[in-house]
Amino acid sequence: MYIRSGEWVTISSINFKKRLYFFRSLRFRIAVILMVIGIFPGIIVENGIVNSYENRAVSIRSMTVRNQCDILSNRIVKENYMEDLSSDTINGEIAMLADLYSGRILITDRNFRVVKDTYNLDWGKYMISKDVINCFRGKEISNYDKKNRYIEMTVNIDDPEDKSNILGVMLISISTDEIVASMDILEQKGVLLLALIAVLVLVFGYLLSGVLVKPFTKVTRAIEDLTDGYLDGNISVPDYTETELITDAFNKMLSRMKALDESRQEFVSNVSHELKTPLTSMKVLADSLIGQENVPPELYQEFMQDITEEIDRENEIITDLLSLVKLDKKASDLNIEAVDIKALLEAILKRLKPIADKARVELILDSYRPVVAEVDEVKLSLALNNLVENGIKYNVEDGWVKVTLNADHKYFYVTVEDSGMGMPEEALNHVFERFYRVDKSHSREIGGTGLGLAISKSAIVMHHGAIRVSSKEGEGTTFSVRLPLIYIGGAE
Amino acid sequence: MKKGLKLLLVLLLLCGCSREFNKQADSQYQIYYLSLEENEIFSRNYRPAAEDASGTIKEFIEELSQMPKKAGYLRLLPEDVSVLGYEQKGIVLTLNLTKEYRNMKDTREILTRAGLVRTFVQIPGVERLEIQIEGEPLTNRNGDPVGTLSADSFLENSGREINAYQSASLVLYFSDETGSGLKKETREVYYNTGIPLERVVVEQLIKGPREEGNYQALSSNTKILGITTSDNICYVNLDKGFVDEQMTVQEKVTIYSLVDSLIANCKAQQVQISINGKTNRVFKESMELSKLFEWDSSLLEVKPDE
Repeated sequence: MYIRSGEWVTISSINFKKRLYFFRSLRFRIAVILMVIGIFPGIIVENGIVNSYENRAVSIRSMTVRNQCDILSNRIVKENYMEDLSSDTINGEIAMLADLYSGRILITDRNFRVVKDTYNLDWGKYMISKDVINCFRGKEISNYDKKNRYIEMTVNIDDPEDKSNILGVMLISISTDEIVASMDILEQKGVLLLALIAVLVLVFGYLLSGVLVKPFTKVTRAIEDLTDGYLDGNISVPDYTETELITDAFNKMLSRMKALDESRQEFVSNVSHELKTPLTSMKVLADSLIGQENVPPELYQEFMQDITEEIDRENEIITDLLSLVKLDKKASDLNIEAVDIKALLEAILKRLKPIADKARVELILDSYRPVVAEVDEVKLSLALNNLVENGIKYNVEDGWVKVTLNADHKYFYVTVEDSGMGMPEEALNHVFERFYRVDKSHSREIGGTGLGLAISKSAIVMHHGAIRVSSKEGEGTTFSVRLPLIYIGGAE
Repeated sequence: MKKGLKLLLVLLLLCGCSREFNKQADSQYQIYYLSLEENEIFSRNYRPAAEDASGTIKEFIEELSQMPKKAGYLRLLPEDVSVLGYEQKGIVLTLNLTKEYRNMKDTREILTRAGLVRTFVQIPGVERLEIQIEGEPLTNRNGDPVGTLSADSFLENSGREINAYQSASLVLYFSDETGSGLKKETREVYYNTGIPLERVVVEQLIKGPREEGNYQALSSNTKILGITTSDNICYVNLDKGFVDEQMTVQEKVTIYSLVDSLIANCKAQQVQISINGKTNRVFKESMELSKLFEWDSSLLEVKPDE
């Protein structure tokens, strides 16, 4: 779902929820990120430039003025101004300097008396400013008072021959209004540029974010079209690696669902067929009884026996189907407990012994080590039982079925090997499918429902295990099962 | 919500209270100290126990020899300097100190001097301080006597308000030689824009002329109590110093020196003069102060080239 820019404005008043939708959208976030990245550096740069301009301007101004004052101080000493204040040239120079930098110059003699003030305000007073006192002790300063916008500096008027003989101190205060004014202009320009950048970034951010999220919109639309049935087959949005991954994953899911659907259809037809076969037999038997007159009771007996057999078969199929459906349910239905696998296998073999004896098949159990694992005893025993039973059924006379049990630190392995008839290679991929029969002609006489291996596989998969089959026609089949020793409850 | 409002009210009240305290603290006396680097003077609030002026003086002298209560400060007078005595004559207090005072470094001495003056001029009735060393007046390095000092004699910061200053070209009228006419003098003056220009004009008149041949028209003891302008009338309130001193100039010259200077430089068209706030007086013998004065050029000397 996406909301186009124009729509948003009109919809906002009507539908508050949709508005929230926009704020949660990737587009909004991308737009915000673009704006932040675009505008913040600008602000930082602007401030940095204005501040560095201020520092530079102040330091240049201080340097020039100090230079001039040093020259003036030398002239003052040379012309003996401190003794005789009437020198017109010096007075003129002082006034000029003060005028030039729109500042005020105060000259203090060594009695701390102000002997010259270009403002004529404090003449004759005693100067007790900290900076002047420090200067008399030989420490000249140059301070910038940002708050009151002025630079203050003190310059020694000292005897060039004897530097320690300080004749007086010049205190210069220069207004930095000019610097502040050009800083203001600079800042104004900066803000103007910043505003321009901000507007550009806003517009571009909005547009670009729209362009950037477009492929995602395309994905959505393609999926929707698919849902609505306009589109068949795979979707493809190759604009980004991400969208390609999404569509690939989606296509995979789609094909899986298709396969599932197909297998379900097949399953249903198989089930119907399998269930119908005994019914047809029964119908034929019953019809022939009804159609004949004076049927001898022996025939009745025989036919009824046949019908009972067919009912048993039907019943068997339904029971198997039910257990398969149960296994298809969630893994949470598993009843996990620590089970001695060797004992389990022994019990299975013991149970199958009569059938094996009847088919004259030998059962062998090979256990390399005792194994205790966390499994659902009933379901696993069903799975293994089916495997061994299969080995017995599809065997040759005087054949054998060998069950081996082994384990490592993580898994235990059960292999069921038989000396039976084996199966062709192309059948290997299908043996775990429901109602699949390798040899359809023999299925009747061998019996079974065609569901045994499917049940085994789902039980093992449920335990996060794996089952593999290898076979050679005429030599035998081997089923290898690998199961974890410790059951890990997982998503599936 | 209601609770929040109540809390706010209480906070406001508290704010008010604390401001009140500050005001009280402002009316306290200050005791001055030197910084450890001996380059600055600091003060702290002090409430004297004595209630009369002379008691306070004694208490302050006593306090001078005490060590500062806070660490990081020095006392004003070095430990070897002590006060020999004091004498009050009118508004001048004379403080007699021992000769060790002269041993101080120049930079420390000037700060000590400022601190002493600031300490004692707080006392009502004392406006100036004279320092004597064993009975001799304190002298500068070149031997000139320092004389009496007031709080105004010291300057601590000159640059902070530099942006508030502006220069003005003032036209001032002073008395001529004879004391019967006015003479024009133009001068450049820097003044703080926080001060009305009218006040600057009158201050300059009180300071006196700079050009030769011009004479003081207003008594230099005049104090300005207040100057305001409204509706083009400038109200000038002066103290008794304006009237008391005997001047050699005619009374008309004094009045019109003030009036013409004000009207020439400021927006005002008429001037109302009052003495200590009263206008129903006669200046010297004949000048009625109750009326509004206007521009009068009759006293101005006409220069030959004009």
